[in-house]
This record gives sequence, structure tokens and C-alpha cells, in this order.
Amino acid sequence: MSIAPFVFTSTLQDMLRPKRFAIWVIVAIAMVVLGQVFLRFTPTSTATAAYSTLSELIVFRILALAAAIFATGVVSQEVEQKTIVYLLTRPVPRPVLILARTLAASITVSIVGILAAIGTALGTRATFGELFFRDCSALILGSFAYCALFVLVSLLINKSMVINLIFAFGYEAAVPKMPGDIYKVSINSYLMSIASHPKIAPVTSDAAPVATPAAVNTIQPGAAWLAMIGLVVLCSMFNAQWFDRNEYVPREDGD
Amino acid sequence: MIQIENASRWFGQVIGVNDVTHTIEPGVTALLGMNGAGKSTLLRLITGQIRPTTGSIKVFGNEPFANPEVYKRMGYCPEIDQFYEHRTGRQFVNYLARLAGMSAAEAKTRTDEVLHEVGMADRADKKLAGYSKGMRQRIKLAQAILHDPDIILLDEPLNGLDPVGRREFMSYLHTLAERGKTILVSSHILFEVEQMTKSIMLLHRGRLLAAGDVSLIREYIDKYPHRVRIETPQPREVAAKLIQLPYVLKVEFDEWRGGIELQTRELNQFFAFLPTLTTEENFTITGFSSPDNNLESIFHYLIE
Repeated sequence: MSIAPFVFTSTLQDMLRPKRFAIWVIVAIAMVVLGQVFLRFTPTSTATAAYSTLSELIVFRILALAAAIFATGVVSQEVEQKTIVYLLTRPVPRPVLILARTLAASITVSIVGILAAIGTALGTRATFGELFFRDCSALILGSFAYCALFVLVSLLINKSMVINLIFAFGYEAAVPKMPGDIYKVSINSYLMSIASHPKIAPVTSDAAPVATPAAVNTIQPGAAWLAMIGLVVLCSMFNAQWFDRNEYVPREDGD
Repeated sequence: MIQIENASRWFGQVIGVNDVTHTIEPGVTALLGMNGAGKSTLLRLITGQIRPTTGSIKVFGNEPFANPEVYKRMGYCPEIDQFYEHRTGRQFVNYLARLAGMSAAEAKTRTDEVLHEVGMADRADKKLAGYSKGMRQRIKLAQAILHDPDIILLDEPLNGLDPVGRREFMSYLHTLAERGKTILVSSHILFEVEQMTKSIMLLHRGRLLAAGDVSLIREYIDKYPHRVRIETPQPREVAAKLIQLPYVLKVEFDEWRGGIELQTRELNQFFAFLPTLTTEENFTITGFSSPDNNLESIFHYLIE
């Protein structure tokens, strides 16, 4: 019998245990409240527009945040807490160990993202229609992409959580809004293409523009799917190979 | 079982293990050395957590690094005191049993057995976060032996155990050794090691200074004569007789405890002669001992 299902289910159980997961349920509840507050302060906004705005601005950021946290738990946290030794001295092939654990992290992050989307939809009174389900598919794909990438970073860099958080909140928030084609090197741009939120008219102003306007996202949803699946596959293959060949030993003071 | 050939391991500019060659056979072998001697590094090399920079390490003829076939037959009790603190001792051992490839039913049975063997059956349902150091040591031992491995590597396993626990642990080690297991125990506490085994590997600053039986190693240390203490109510007469022997270098009176202490380079010859003191010379000898024929003396002689 393959050990992979056990590694996957035990990791998933650990990531979903109430004490660890409760915070994400609270985040989803906070999204309900935030949706209602948003509608109250923008009375002209439709439910769909309010949902789209909050989803783009917050739900996809929550997804990246959750991915940074749970992906760090795949290897990096085990090394820092020194418990990696128990995993690496068991008869479990290392590629199986990392792929099964990454899969568990990706599913956990998907659940976090979907819960936040449900909270947003409830708060903004949006319907659970096509837009919501497109968001869910983007959130699931995004969780796999972010987790694969963040696990890769954690395999290469010690204390990777900081780097992953900077990527999630700095890079991923800023790059899609930059002019030119640089937005194409952001995971968020591809996820937005898959989500295909309706365009919301910008606020007009008589003042002269002070910066070059952000580029329009021209990535087609089909291409976005392919790009994200490619990213997940490549990162996962690299992670499996790298983890199998390199040393992951906690630091110890004595010897 | 474990073959180490010219193995060295560098960490940047620092050498952890320096050109070690040795074969470890079934039975209990103690890995001795002060803090920083390279004991844990050598255990990590054998357990395949790290690779040697030069040389080779083979376990059952295979390179151990990331090798599941080796881990099926190897148990490792690390020195670290970290656990998944939110789990109970039973959950922790059961989890590692499943990772060792056991089915759910097998893992449960084996977990119960092994917790009983290490004396934790009645305390295994508490969270690990609340365990004392001694309880943690027992749980670490349990996870190391749960899949009945042929090789068991124990890194400072006696740390934190109370005297009763230490005695039980040593007794259990001997039971395992009698079952043909290869056991390598690292320690820096010589007194404990001496009670465990006579077979040692002595590491100092990454180098293997000596390996083998403690008594044989002592025989090879020519620089320091053997010391023998003799208890007798006639110290002057006995001393006068012994100083005439060509292989006795020095005799001193122990005025505080009584008796005499002598130094010799030929210990076996001296012990062969000793009975004649009573049988032919009619001296009264109430006891004798060899105060430096122990691990602590050997350890200090070798690292000086």
C-alpha cells in the first residue's frame, strides 16, 4: 500500500485542526461584516460590483496570505521546529512526502479562499451564480499555484515566510497594477483573468494624470489556466527533485 | 551493519567529522565525546540526514541518505527535544508507526506494545506539551523501536531520565542487544556508558581517537602507566616487596584511606604475581582495584 494517502490525510487533518483553522473561519465571518459595511458606505454599488471589488481586493489577498502560511508548514516550519527529523528518518520517499504535504496545503488554502468568498458573497448579498463559481475555480487554481511556488521558495531559502509574505502582499498587489506587460509575471493577473470580474468604471476626475495608467489585463482565461497548471507542474517537479537531493537538518547548539 | 570509511563532513569552514573509519557490529556500542566532538554529526551521517563531504557511509551495504530501504530497518532517537506538542504521546507514536508503513490496525497494536515496553502505557494519552523530560525521552525511544529495527541509534538517550528510568533503560538496551540488534548510543557521561557497554567509539574534535573494547584500548595507552590500589594492613612491608619488582615503577602510601597505590607498565604480569603476596609471602591483602582502568581515565588520557 502506498504511504502517500496517509501522508496527505494526516497533513490535511493537522492543517484543518480547529485550533489552527479557527482563525480562517473568523476571517470568513469578517468578510461577511466587511461586505455589509461596504454596501452601507457605497449605496450606489450593486451586489455584483461590491462582491467583485472585495473579492479582487481582499479575498485573493487572503488566498495568498493563507498560501504563504500553509506552504511554509510543508517543510520550512518542520525544519524550524526541528520535527523534520521524524519525517526524514521514516521509510517514506522524499518526493512522496513533499508532494502529498503540498497537496494537503493547497486543499487547505482552497478551503480558506472559498470560505472567504462565501463570506463576501453573503455580506454583499451577491448571488452564488456564475461569477462566484468562476471565483472558486480561480481560488482553487490559485491556491495550488501559490502553494507550489511558496514551497519552492521555502526549499531554497531559510526563514521563507517573510519572503512569501512580501511576495503575497507587495509583489502580487503591486505588479498587476503596473503599466506595460509586467503584470504578466504575477500569478494574480492570471487568476483575475480566470475570475473574469465585470469591469467597474473608474472614478473620473478633471485633474491631470500623475502616473501612467495600469495596463489592461489581456490574458485569455484559457491561456491563464494553461499558465497556472504549467506553473504548478513545473514547481512541483522541481520541489520533488530538490527535496530528494538536499539536506534539511535543523540547527542544533550542541553536538 | 554500519561501515564508515574515511568519512569527513564539513560545515563551511568548520569540520564536524574528520576522516572517520570504523565498522559497527551488532551489540551495544557507545559513541563518546565531549559536547561538539561530532557525535550528533556522525549519527546524522549514519541516519542519512546529511551526506559525508568525503568518504562513504554504508548501512546494510546501502548509502543511507534519503534511502527508505535503510529507514525500514533503522530506528533513530534524536537528541532534540521537539515534538508535535498538540498531539498525545500515543498519537505521536501511532503517527510515526503509520509513516513506517504499518496499517492502522498494526500501528495501533504496535503503539500499545511499545508504549508498554518503555513504561509509558498509562501516561500516553496526555498531550506531549505537558510531558517531563524523562517522559519525552521514553516517547522518543518508543518511536525509535516501534518498527522493530535491526539498527537503533540513540543520541544522548539518558538525558533527563531519573535513576530508575536509567536503570530500566540500560536493562532494556541489553535486552535489545541480546536479540541481535546493533545499537549505537551517544553520550558524554562516561559513568553511564561504562554501565552500558565495553565497546566504545571515542570522538574528539571530529576525529575518532579510539574504538573497541575499553580494556584493550587501555592496554594500548603506553604513555600512562597503569595504577593499582592495594588494600592491606601491612602497607610498608608490601610496598617494600613490590618496589623490587622490575615492572613496578612507583609505590605510594595512601595515608588518608590506608593501603598503597603503585604504577606499572605490565598490568597482566603484575596481576599474575599478586596472589603470591598472600600464598608465599603471607601478606594480608583485603582488596585491590585498578582506578584508571575505566572509561573516564581512558577518555582523559586520549584527549590530553
